[in-house]
Amino acid sequence: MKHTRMQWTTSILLAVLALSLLAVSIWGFARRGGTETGETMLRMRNYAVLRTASGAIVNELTLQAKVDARDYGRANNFSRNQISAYMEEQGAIARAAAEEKYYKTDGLDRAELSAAVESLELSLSDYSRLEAKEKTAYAETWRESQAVLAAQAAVQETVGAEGEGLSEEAMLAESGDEVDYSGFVPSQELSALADSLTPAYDTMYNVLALTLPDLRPETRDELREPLLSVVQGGDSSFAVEYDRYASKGADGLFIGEEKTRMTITRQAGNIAVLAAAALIMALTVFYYRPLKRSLGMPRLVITLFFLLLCVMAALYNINVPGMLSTVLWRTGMYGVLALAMLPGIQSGISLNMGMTVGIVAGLISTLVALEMNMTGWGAFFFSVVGGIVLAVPIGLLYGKLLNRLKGSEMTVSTYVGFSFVSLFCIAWMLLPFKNPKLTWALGSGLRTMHNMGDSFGQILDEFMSFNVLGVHVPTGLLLFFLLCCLLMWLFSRSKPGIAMIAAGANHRFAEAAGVNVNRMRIIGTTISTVIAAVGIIVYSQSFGFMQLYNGPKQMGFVAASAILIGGATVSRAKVSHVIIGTFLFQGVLALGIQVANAAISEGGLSEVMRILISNGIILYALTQSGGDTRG
Amino acid sequence: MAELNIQRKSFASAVRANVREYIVTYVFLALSILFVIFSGRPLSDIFSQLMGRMSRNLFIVLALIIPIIAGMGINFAITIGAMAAQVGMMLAINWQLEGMTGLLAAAGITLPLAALFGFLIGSLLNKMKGQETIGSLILGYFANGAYQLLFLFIFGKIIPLSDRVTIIGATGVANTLNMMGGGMYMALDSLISIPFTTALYGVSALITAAAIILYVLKKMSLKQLSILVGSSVFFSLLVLLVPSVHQIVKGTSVPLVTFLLVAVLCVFNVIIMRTRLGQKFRAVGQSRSVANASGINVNRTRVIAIMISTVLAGWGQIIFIQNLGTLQTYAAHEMVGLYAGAAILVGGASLNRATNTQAIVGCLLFHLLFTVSQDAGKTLFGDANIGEFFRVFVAYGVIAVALVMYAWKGGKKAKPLTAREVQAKTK
Repeated sequence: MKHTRMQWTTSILLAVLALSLLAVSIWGFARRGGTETGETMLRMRNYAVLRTASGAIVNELTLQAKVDARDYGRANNFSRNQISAYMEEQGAIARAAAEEKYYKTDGLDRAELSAAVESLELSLSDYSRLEAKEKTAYAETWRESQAVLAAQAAVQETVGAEGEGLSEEAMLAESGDEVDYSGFVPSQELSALADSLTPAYDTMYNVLALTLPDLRPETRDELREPLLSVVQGGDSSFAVEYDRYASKGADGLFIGEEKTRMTITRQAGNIAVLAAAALIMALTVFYYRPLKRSLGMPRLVITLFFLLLCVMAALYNINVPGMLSTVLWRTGMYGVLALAMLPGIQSGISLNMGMTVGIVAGLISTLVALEMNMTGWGAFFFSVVGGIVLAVPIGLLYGKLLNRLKGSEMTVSTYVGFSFVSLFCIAWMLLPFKNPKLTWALGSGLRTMHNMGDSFGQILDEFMSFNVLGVHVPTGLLLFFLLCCLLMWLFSRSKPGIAMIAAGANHRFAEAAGVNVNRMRIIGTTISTVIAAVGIIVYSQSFGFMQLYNGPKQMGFVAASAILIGGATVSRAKVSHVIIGTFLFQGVLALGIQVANAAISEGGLSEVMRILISNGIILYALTQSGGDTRG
Repeated sequence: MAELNIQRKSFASAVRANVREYIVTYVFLALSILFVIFSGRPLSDIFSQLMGRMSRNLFIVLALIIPIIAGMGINFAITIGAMAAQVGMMLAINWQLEGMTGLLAAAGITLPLAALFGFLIGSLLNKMKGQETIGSLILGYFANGAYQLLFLFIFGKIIPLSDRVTIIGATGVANTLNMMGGGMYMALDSLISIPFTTALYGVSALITAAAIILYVLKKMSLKQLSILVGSSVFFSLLVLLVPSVHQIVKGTSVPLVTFLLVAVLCVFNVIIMRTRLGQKFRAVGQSRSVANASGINVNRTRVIAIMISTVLAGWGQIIFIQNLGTLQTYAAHEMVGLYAGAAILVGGASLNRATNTQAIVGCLLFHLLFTVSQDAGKTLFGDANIGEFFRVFVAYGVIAVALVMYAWKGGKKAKPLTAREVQAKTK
């Protein structure tokens, strides 16, 4: 393996950077437990407490000055604008003077203050723990109620011909919303604990009043909430505690070197993440050529992008277990659909964008199950078997059609898929389904979205699912996906499977070897259609909603992008490409949503990212297919 | 007797060939007539709406012809030309340009932008020869992502814009840009707007005069002359003398300048085929390898074809938007490729052959169906939505059928001879 000088220099520099960052981060972590840091933190806490109290005085004085200014203005017949300007001016002067006077640090090291705050924290700990527990429970019920509301809104949405159904990203983003605690009611136990805090709080308030003589006893109750929130107690981590004090201006305490030291201590975790990122960069640069050879350029770029998103997620403090759960869930959800691309490519019909014909078969059988009010595993297996039964003849006919169109299968299958979906848009309006759960209350036709919650929603997901370190593993879903992959792998080892792959790889050679190429292509197309039918059932139960009308229109593109990202080309693919590709693609999307939301609190960017990645990879595959040899 | 038989036979076979060639068009014609009947709407109403649709859509459909002749199939990437035009329109609104000034400014911005995009599209399509139709479709989707990125996150943030095109508190460019106030609404259409009857008589007179001059100059055969003059006179007399027909077209007015631009484009499409460049388009379209062997730079020719098509599509989109009066920033371009592609295929074009007439007939039929499908859906199935779905299905279905038919024919032709056939031939 030969490396250029450029590679050597860059990777060594990056490695040095990574190691130094790592050293800094370790030093920062080590300092967190040190006595020096502990003392600084206590000082910060005292300062934050003092500042909260004195802030109240400052606000009060400012307000007073404004009121005085207003009265003065009225007395002297100022105009409305003049009064407000004068009020602002006087308020600013008063604030500056009050801050000068009260934002001081002399009372900070008083032993009484430290002791009082300490004792308050001790008694607060129990309270904080219980409160956190109750609030978590509240947040969970709140999120659930929000999800139900969102689902109802979605179901009530009217049918639009061009509407692509509800954006899934929009639904997934719901769970990340801030919880509204306005409806939170503390339990009796919690209230009792709150009352027991009063003596400790009063002691602290009195000590504060010693330092700040202008602190009036009347504000005692008013200040209780903000002061308690500063002291808090409980099991908050170093970083959380630091941020809490810093938000009260306590980081203004540091001068010179101490500031740098404390910043490093606070950011130790993030620095470690950056060190890891630098190390990855160094390795990538060093092993650039072998990596590019084994992964291919697009997969390398996507993998790096995935890692970049991981780094960003860590920097933005995104909940890692929650994120991993989402990635696992989405991988299982889309996996079977992506697998449907595999037999198509293997048998030589390139990307089977027309897999939507199979999807429609799956939707019909699910609808029949729902129409008959079936639930649970019975409904699931009925849908799967029904989907397969419907998909086989459709796939056979479709395969026969594609045999007449060698060389332009992808173009034709895309439009056949589109027209099939839009034909079924009409069919969904006309098919004689009677169950009121399925049809519109007014007018005729099936609804756009069907809640699977009361039939077999998430039945695979919840089967044997468990939590590890906060990561929710949808065991059944993943097992089902892997089972399908295993079956495909076994098939590719069997005699017809080998013949099929041979027909796809080189049809002349296969023909010479006595393989019936057309028959193999039909088999490949049929299997692809069948898997697509199963895939949409797995998708719907996992997503929790079944989407009709234009919902399945883009599924072919999602599946094609996944398998291509996994390293397949339009003429060669393996099972591993499906698994890796789905994981990477859905990982990038799931992380992308969260990171984009955290970075620029605006929606839409993740959707843009999906469009660019998904279509970009298909375009790349097309340019690689060497168009000149075809058509 | 025998001679007559042969003539009759040849006539019958000509009809059969014609029907086979234009089966899609005839089916569509039948469908449209059926739908017009079932829609139950007054014909004058349908006619005036159809004229409006023709005036705003025909230009874009005509923009598809050159890439088809150059062998690049349906250029679904004309959506990218439409996006360039929307950038131009958005900037014109942003700068508060009014009326024709605004439209001309938008067209001026569109020209270099669309040419650049066309160059990029053409270069990319050169890497996927034989898969241009699907390639340009996916390229259109890809560009839609880039467009959203530009309009949501770059315009208004990195490139500052006035609040005429943005909404305070929201991200990027507003969803809907209204041009009613700025005077760009119908700026082109309302330049000269005359009643349809006047326009018909005028155009008929012009065609008759031009045809006679061409005949005198011996540039036209007697057959062509009689067809042109005959049809002009026939339609004029039809409107003039038959009261019911007159009733249908009476209330419709025609945006003369818009149709003049369309006519100019038709003439452009004809004339460019007679130039050296047009010869190259045709040569490349027929066979890339032969063209290459005769010294034509195939890739360059294809890029030029796409560039022209993209710029024309951009200008077509400007005509479209000024007629509507509002710019749906994030949706106006999405269906451009689909509807234009379906329209030209309805007219009987295929993936390697297209003419002005096919584009015009196709646009007429396709939009006739569009106009009436909702009402027909309501009458037939009691639901207007079905008509809506039906027209989307028709758009996709027409393209799918055209692709299947093309690939089917191509597949038959390209089938290599089997060993036995070769033997039989050599014997």
